[in-house]
Amino acid sequence: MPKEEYTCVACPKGCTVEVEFEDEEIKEISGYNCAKGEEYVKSEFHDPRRILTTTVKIKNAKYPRIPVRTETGVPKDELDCCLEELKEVELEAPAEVGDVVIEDVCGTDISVVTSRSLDRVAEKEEDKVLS
Amino acid sequence: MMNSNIKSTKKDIVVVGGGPAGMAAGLRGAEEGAEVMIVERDIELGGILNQCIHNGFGVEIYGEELTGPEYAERFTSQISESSVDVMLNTFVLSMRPDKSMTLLTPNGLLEVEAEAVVLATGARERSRGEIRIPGSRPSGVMPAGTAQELINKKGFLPGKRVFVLGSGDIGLIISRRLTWEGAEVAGVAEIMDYPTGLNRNVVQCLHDYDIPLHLSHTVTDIYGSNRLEGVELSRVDDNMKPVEGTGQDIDVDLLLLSVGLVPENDFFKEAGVTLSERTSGPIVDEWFQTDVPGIFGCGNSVHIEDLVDWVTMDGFRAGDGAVAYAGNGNLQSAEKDVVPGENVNYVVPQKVSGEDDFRFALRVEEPMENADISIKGTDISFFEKIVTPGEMEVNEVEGEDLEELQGLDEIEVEVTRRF
Amino acid sequence: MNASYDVIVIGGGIIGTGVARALSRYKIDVGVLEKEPDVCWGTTKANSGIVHAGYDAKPGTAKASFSAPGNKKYGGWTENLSVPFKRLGSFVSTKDKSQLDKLENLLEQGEENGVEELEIITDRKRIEELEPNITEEVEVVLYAPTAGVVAPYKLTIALFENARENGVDFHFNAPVKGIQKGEDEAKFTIESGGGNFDGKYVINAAGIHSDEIAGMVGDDSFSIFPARGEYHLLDSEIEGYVRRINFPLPTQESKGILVTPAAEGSIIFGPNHQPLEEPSVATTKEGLEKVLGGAMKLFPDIDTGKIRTNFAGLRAKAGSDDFVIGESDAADNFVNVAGIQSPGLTAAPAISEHVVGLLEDLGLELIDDSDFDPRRNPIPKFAEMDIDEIAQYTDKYKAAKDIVCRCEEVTRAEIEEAIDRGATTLDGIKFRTRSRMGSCQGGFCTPRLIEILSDKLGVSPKEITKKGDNSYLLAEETKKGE
Repeated sequence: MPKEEYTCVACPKGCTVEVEFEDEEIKEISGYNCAKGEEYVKSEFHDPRRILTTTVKIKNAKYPRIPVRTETGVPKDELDCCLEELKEVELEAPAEVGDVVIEDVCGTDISVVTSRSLDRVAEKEEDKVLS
Repeated sequence: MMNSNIKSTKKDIVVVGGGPAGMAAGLRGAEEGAEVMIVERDIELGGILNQCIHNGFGVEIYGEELTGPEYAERFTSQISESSVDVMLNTFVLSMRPDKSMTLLTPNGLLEVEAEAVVLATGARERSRGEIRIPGSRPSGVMPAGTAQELINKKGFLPGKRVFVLGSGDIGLIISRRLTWEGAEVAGVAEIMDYPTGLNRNVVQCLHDYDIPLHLSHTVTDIYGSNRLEGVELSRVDDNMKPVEGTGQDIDVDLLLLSVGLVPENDFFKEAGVTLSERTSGPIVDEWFQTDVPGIFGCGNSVHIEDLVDWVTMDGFRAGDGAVAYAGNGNLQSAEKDVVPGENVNYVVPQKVSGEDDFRFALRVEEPMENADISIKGTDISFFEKIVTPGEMEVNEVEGEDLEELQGLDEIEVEVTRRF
Repeated sequence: MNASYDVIVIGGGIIGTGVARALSRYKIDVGVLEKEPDVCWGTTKANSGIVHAGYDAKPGTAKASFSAPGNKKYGGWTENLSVPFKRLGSFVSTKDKSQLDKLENLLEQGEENGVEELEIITDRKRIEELEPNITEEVEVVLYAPTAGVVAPYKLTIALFENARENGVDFHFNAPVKGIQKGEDEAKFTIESGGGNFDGKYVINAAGIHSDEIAGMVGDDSFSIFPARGEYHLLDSEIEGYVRRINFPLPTQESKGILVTPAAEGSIIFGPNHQPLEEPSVATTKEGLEKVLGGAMKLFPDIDTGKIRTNFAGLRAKAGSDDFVIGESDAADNFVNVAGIQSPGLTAAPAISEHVVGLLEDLGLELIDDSDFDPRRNPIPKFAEMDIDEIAQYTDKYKAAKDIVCRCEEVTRAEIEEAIDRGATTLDGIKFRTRSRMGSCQGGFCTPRLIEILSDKLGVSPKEITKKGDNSYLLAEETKKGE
């Protein structure tokens, strides 16, 4: 039977948990030491997700980039696609925290939102590349 | 002779530093009716949170995983609606034991007299020189936090092929961040035989991207006369000394150092505050008051904390202390020493009155499973399945437990194996 | 660019700038060629910064003849140039009274070299008064009150600025590639990375490369053997722990590992002595350990936790182990000023004047330039101002209210002025203002410095470097894919 090893992140102990599976179905899990650990490894096996936190370009703000995040975890395999889509985005200040940047990123049905507010600054400063 | 052009003002509480610790202290002060000024040298409040764009902040306080800027904004929005007087782009030129100070503001010099002062100045990253890596001195060697600022705020990648020294959370998170921005992380080295950052970050920042983690390894040489060309990675022995002949060269153009933070303690020193040799921050009591009455610390300026949530809670507590001091001109005296016992590196606070509930934070010296964190000579004990030096342990002594401390002159905190 | 000069100086170290500045008081055209983007990036940058009393060198050597006289000129030199110079006095210490004769020999040698005020101290109480934290085992000391400390880079920058103010042309990024000697007329044509330059006289002050430069006119009379010296630099927080320049008993190769206050407040340990085949200023684990060990012999209780950084420098040692100063036998009007290892910094003012005399002997006509101004104004230093001075300074300049380097309290006004005066790199700013020299070693201010340099020089932040050439700081913009 195929096996997969996971390092549990439910607590600092970091147990090595082994999953034996067949046709995407878990047959046996071993090595965990608590219920939280078992739950974590199951979700990692079936649907590993990560919150993506990165930046996008922004015009007329005191910084040339604004931090953004996915509202919830996106499938791990879609992270690269999300990053590529976000490369194309350029916002214009002002921005409010929580503004939607992309509504349905890479067909995940998950939004990317800004994670801070940035005021609009005077035109004069706009072409400064660094703050 | 004092220059007549220098303006002056008085405040109940002056908070130095507008990061998470200072914002919490300042807000609490204002909520309690004190006249508060926050002095911040940067162009905005939020401190280092503004460049920590990853999530994981606020789990203890808000029960959700916020990014650094989101966490900061919860406070900046409250502050902008409060009575707190925020002084941005403002630098403290001198800090005096009588709680007066000279500020350099965008409008010139300002003398401020305060009833109470909270020094929430955060920490700085340790540098290459402090850990004494030999080699040449090319560009492309910098603290991980500087790289974080360049990438996340300024929009520049400081290198394309990177090695990271130090497996603390900052080192792990910057590795993932660099990967996401298209750089290649050739590896992370950790001098200890275990990762010092959170396990979750080891998995999600390194394992996810097949970035090798070299435990019991360190960087022993730096190559390149102009731009960094590579580093030498060597194994270390049990005494953390590099083992001859284990060196391997890794070609990289950027070396990031994530080798620890040091409390920014300059103003404590200027004010005559006694510092702890273990933390490099001030010795404080349960209200985060230092041994100079009316001068408080909180957050990373006192000791390096893991979670911003704890920083915020300490800030609130210091704010409470500052309000009480500013109102009465004194605080309950804290006479009992809190000292580290078995397997404890340090404990904060180092002094308590024993009269009020208090929270104490400690770091252990060695990892331990099934550990009891206890106060020697009492029944006060907290069980932890696992403790590691990388994780701060925070517990509260409250209510009836306080009575147990009555007879003790010294409170010795120890971490021992339960079974 | 191309230009023609009476005198071309090759090298922008302490000797090159010193000679250029000494020549700038006369009505002659002087050009300096420097391969780096700034002055002082070779041997002069990284050394102990000691102005020696002058007892070390064997009488009769060039080293001996320029040291004590050089020392005597330092007060006036640094005062005119507004460069801090402190006569702290030096100690040669020994733990063993039987070594007294060695110290007595040094004292006699010093007196022969013209060193004044030398004294042997055997009174332990007096030793402690002068140097309270020195190991209690020290029993005998040779005390030389005239020895002092100076920041060599500050001094070289000041010489450069003053020479430039008095009409000397400096050509940076101009490495010399070849020298042609005219057949009929007394004229050299120098081909450099920064253009071609004609000169009637050439001063070869090219440090560790001076043998290569001499070779370009067929002079192979000397070779330079670079020897590395490594150092630890401590945080200025412990200023005052060491008060004098402390040497152990000297050995054949060097004066030993010294422990001294630096002119700008911190403390330095070093150097060791490592002859190298290939020049390198990389530090080594072994070397740094040796330096630390040497320092601990004199100050066993010093807080080594205050070590902030380490660095290495190269001694430009000639085969003869003495200075090589004089007209080349291979080419008329080509003057070598080479092999300037320790005590070269000490000797520099005396050597500079000597070289001017040499040129006069060779036929260069020296007419005083009445416009010559020996004084140079320093960049106002915010960190050293009192409150009233700050009030005035910050009233006058908006940029003075903006503190960029937090550790050393350096304002944007100072940084912008450093750029106006010729700094084009992070290191150039560092040596002029101390930004990035403090406890955080640039962790906080580097992004701002890049921004200020980029704004002032009108180039992309990606083009800003630490020290010229390929030492860029930013690889690329994020999110560049459109």
